[in-house]
Amino acid sequence: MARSVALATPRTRVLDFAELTKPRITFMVVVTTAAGYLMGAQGHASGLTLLHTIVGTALVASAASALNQWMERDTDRLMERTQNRPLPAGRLEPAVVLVFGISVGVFGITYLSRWVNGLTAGLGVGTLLLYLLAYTPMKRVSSLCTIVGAVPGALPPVMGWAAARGDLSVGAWVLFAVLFLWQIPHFLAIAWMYREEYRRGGQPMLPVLDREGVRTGRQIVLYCLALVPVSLLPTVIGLTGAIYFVGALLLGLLYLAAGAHAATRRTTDSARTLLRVSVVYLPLLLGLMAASKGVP
Amino acid sequence: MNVQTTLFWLTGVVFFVVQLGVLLVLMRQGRGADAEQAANGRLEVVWTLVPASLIAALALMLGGLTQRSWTRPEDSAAPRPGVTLRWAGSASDPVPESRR
Repeated sequence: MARSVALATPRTRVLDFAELTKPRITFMVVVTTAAGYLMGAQGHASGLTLLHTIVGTALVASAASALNQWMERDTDRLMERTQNRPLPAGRLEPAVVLVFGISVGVFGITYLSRWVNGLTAGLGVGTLLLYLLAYTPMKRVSSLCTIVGAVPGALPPVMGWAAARGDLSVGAWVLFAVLFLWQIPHFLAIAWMYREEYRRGGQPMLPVLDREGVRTGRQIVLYCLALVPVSLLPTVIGLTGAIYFVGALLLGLLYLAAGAHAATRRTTDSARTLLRVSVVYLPLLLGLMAASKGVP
Repeated sequence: MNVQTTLFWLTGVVFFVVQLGVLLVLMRQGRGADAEQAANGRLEVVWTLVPASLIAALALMLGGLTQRSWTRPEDSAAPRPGVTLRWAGSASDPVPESRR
């Protein structure tokens, strides 16, 4: 049951603002940014610059989440999964959230510009704009929003790389491609699990249009398949060595197996299994990548 | 060609073959489909082409066919020494080129 605005205490208000930032997603953004930084760094990397990069990126991600919830407050009210968020539940005022989101976003971009570099800050601006002005409005229009949304979702490791090196060389784009391709089966699994809610909310995700799940299953397998060779690229381009290669190959085949299982069964349980595998895959892959950097 | 490169190309070829198969299936399903199915089929074609486009773009970058600012020759060199983190506070901390 939603907490009443009249019962709000300072503590619950802080918790509501924290919920606006989508802490779990922000944490994943921070992890991928750190991975990008560590992969881009050459020789002795500055721990302080890494910290600044993480803080700035976390602020930008938090702002994106808060403003996304401000934009979708009417749709969120229609879905059980989101109706208890601070805005649809009435615990926070829309104007307050708007000011909070804009302030945090501006502060985050300024922070990155001052303490990291202009390129990383520019990428942060691009991430915010793509997420809020392209992905969010597109959710009510087309299932391709998932693909569009995967672009800002894949930029954090690029930001980390740019923070470490000050450029956007090919390694940054390999990391981008890994994150981009990883997101699609992940979000299709979520969309399959909650397809009835997305339908009620008027959001035409692919599983909403594809009632039998055949198209969804096909695309899950295709993106998992594409991820396998792309995830091997860090070794091919000389960033990592054989240990990462073997680990990435095994993880990629595991993700593909989970995707194939979800595509053939087309049940909520198989989608949930795919989601769990995806959540295990990414940190393991990035951890292996960072640990194996420069190791033949 | 070593084992790693062979496996890399093998997995890439498998992806492209499967993708081609999916496109052929979509083309066949599109014939005689009703308006809604045809629209969904066209949508799925876009979905299907995206990963291949991304991989093609990466291949162009790796092939050095784009502007030099996108690629650096040392990116394809042998693995560099691992990264160690140092916390700021000493004058010997390296300053990124972009901040000099």
